Amino acid sequence: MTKNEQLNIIFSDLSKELDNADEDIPLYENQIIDSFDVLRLVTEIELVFDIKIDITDLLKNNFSKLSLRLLIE
Amino acid sequence: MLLNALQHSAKINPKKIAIIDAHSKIKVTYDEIIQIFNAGKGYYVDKAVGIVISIGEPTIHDLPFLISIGQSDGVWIPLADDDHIKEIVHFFSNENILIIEKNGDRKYLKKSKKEKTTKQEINPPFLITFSSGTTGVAKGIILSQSKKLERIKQSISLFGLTGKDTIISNSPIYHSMGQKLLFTSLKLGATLVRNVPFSPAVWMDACQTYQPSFGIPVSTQMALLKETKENYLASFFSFRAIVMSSASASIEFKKHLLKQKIDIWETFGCSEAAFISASKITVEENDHVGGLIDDVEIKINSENSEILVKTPYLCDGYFNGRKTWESALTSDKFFKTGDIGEIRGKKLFFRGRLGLEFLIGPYKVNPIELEFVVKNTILNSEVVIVPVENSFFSNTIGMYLKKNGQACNEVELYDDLKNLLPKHLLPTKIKIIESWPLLPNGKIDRQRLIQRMNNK
Repeated sequence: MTKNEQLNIIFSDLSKELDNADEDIPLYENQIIDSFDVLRLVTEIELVFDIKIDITDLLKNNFSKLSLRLLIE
Repeated sequence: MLLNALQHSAKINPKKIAIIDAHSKIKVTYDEIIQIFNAGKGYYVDKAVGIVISIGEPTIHDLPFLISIGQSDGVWIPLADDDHIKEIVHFFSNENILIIEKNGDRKYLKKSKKEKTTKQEINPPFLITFSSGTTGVAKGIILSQSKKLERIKQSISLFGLTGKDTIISNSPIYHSMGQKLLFTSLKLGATLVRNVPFSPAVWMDACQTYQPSFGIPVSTQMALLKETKENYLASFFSFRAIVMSSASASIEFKKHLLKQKIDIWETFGCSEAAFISASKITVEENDHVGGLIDDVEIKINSENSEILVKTPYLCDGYFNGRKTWESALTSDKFFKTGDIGEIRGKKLFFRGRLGLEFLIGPYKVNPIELEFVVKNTILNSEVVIVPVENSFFSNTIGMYLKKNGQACNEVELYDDLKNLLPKHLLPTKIKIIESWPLLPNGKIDRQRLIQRMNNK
C-alpha cells in the first residue's frame, strides 16, 4: 500500500466529510473537521508514518488534504 | 501506653519468633524484643534522647530499639532517605537526636538550643511518618501512642487477627503500612515475616517456609509477582485472609482465593485516617474498595466528589504544618482525603485523586477513571494516563502501557481506542515501558511518568 493510500484510509476513517473534501480546501478553517479531529489526525499520521507534526504549525498554516500528503512524503 | 501493651504481649510467649527477615532469614524472638526494649530505654534515658531517626530499612534488631523510645515519651521518625533531615534537626534543635543511618551507623546530635523541652501535651507524639507525596508534597503525619494503639485495635477487630496468625509484610518501615503490620503483629504476639524490599522470589520462598496466614499486599507487588512467577497463585496456600489496600483485586486473583476458601478484604484508607472502608467479599464483585465501617463516617463533597471522613483513627496532625493541617479539615472537622469517590449502597468506589485531574481544552479528565475503562475494555494490561502539555489544548492524553509479554502494536491499539473513547480522550502519545517507577509505598510514581512523557 502506498503512503497516499494509507492516508486515504485515515481520512475516510475519521469522517465522511473529510473523505469527500477537496484536496486543497483548508480543512479546519472550513469546519470540515474540528480541533479534536485534527488531534486525532495528527496522532494517526504520526503513528502510521512515524513522523513528528507540530499541531500548532498545522493549524496556523490552514492545512488541506494536499498539504498533509506533502507532509508524509 | 502502646509500649506497655507491646511489652505485655511479648511476655506471654517469650520463646516465640516475633520477626523474621525473609531476605536474610535472621529471626528475633519476643524474649529478645523485651531485652532490646530494656536496653533501649536505658540508652535513651542515659543519653536523654528525645528524637530517634532511622533512615532506610532498619535491621529487625533495630526495630524494637527504635520503638522503645516511646518508653521515655520520645519520638521515632522513620525516613526513606535523608531528604527531611535538615528540617527535622532544625525543628527539634532543643532535643538530643539519635540518627541510625542506612548502613546502621549511629550519629548522636546534642541539642543546640538549651531551653528545656516541655512535654506537657496530653498525647505527645510518638511517630512521625512522611507520606510519599503522591501528588508532589510529602507531609509528616503525627501519631501519638494512644492513637497508634487505637489504630492497631482497628486492624485487629476488622480482620479478626489473633496471636496465632503469621503476618507477611512487604512494606518498608518508613511507610504507614509497614508500621501497621509491625505494631499489629507485636501487639498480638504473632509472627511477622518481612519481605522488604519486596522480592517475588523471596515471597515465594517465604510463603513456602513460614506459611503466612495474613497479608496486605500492594497491587503493584501482586502484578509483579504474577508477571515473574508463573505458579504465583500456589503461594497463597496457607493464607486465611488477604487484604487489598486502596485497589480492587483482579478477577482471576479473586476467583482463585475464593476457591481456596481464603477471605478477601477490599479496603480503602490513607496514612492520615487509617482504614476508612473495608468489607469481605464473598462473590466476584466489581470495583468497590470496601464497605462502610461502623465507627467511621464518610461523605462525598458534592462539588468535587472528594471523599471526606470523620474517624476516631485520624492522625494528630502534620509535623511542622499547623496551617496545612487546618486546611486539610472541613469546618465540621471532616478530613479531606484528596481522593475522589462515590458511595453506592453501602460500598465505597474509588474514582481518582484530586491533584491528578487535568484539562484538555474545555474537558476535565480524571485519569484513574479513564485507566479503568481502557484496562477493563480492551486491555488486560496495566495502563497509566498522564497529561501531555500542549499549547493549543493545554494538555492531551499520554498513555503508558506496561509490557506484559504479548506483542503490542501502537497502531492496532490506537484503532481499538478509536472505537472506545470520545475523540478528546484519545491518546496523542503512547509509550510501552518495561516496569513502573514506584514510590516507597509501592504505588506508581505518576509525577515521574508525567515528567518522562513531557521530556522533563
